[in-house]
Amino acid sequence: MYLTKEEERMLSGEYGEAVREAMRILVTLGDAFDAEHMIPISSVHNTMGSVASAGDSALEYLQEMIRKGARFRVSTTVNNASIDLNGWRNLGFPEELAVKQFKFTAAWQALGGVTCHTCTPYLVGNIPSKGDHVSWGEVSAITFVNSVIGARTNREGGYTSLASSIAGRVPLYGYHLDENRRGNVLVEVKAQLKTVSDFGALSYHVGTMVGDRVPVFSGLRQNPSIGEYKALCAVCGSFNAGALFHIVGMTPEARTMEEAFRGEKPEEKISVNDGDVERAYNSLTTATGGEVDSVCVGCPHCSIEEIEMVANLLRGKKVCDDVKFWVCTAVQTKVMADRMGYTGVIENAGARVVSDTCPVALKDTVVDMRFRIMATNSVQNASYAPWRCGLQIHFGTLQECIEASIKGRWTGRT
Amino acid sequence: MKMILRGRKVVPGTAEGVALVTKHPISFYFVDWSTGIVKERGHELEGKSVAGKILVFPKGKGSSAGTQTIYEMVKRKTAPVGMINISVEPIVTVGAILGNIPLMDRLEKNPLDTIETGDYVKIDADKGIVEVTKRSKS
Repeated sequence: MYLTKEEERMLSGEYGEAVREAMRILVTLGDAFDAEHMIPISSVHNTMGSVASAGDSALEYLQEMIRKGARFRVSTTVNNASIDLNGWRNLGFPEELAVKQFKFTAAWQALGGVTCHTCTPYLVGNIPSKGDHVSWGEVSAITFVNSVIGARTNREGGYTSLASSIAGRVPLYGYHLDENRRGNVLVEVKAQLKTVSDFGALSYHVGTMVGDRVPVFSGLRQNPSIGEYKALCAVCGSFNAGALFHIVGMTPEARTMEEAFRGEKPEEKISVNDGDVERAYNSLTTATGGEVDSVCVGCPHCSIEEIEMVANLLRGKKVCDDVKFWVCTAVQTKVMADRMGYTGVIENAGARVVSDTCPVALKDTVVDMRFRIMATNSVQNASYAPWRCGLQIHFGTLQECIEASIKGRWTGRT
Repeated sequence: MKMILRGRKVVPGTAEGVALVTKHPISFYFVDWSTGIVKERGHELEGKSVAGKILVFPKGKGSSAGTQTIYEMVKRKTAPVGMINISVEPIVTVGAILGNIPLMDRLEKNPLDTIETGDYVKIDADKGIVEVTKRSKS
């Protein structure tokens, strides 16, 4: 990979140990992917916010970087933590985990990272522009920034984003290159999509069929809402799927079909009907029987409108005592939900508005916190949770999840 | 019987040990970092430990938190000592960089066809050479 004189100085250690280590990582990675050169970036979203997922070694690494004089030169936000930083005690998080997470959060802050601890950084101020080169992590956030905003990022892990925050650049490969942003598969949507979970089911179905190729959706009747976009981003970017899609006439790199495919023909055309969406709902449900002990809404984190919807559905109702119901969101959004009275309504019903975290970020602590059989309208939760520690899932609409929380039993479609 | 295979250095260094080979891509997020045991249900290596092995597999997959797991494994001494992929992807690559685990890919022959679990393997990533001593079958 070609390095500028400045980059060679950075790699040689002229700017200190932290910069040298950051460049060692980025240059080795760039060479592995035959990157021609590096490119400066305008924003970072670091996925490694949860000390439970990252391990003690990550905390030590951050502290070591601080000792080596590391400081971020690019504005950086940080993803979900392992706890709700304000409400952890009331919510039953273990104290030992809280202590560790506070140290981790403090280390991020010392480096210059904004510890908003959310998977929806674009809802709380980290909003790149179309064409910006950035270094983002976290499956749904990456897909959102690539597809809905039209910025450019690869699937960056916590350590590479950290290196990019310090060095201010990324190697030019993958989604940073025009040719890798071209649509590959035309997806004609014939199904009726009415809810966030419908979009999640679509995303799951398409992700399994398309793999890491770029789908181009056509046939959507109107622009997806923010909640629907978040759901579409959730699985299109997970497992072996890619992290970019286009919607003809709606997303920034697909003003026309021709633009979405950059003048080429689609390699494949698939059609998605109501039956395919129903089947996806079934595939995502792993629980048998009607037992439910938890409900989770807000994966990715809820927008303020989604919290309002939950409040409207729970107003005057009572969540069953045996059911733990979390509405997950960014702490900034929770402040607004508190102000609007939504939090009050939700908590009167017996559910909780939880900030900074989510079941996925808890990793094994999910078991300690007694989540076993969860109802969710989130495709990302449903896809990740069973693999994590045997969490069983009922996947359905928000309405079905709310009903399950009140009845204490799942009576939804699957 | 000894075989020499040439390939590309991804992460420099030398390492040797007993090979553990799988045709399934590995998601390190589903490896238990305290034991090195693969937890992913249905995986060819489910229940087996990668600790101390020369791990031969097509490539990494899954969550980028797999990199965090590899690094944690290095600190806990449950990591493989060397890795060979058909063609690398970023999760395993960065884990190997952080942990200084020699990593090679683009071998002249498919490593999954030429290396078997139990073979003794020496990697010299700097020279781009993999030396395989087939285990004796009696």
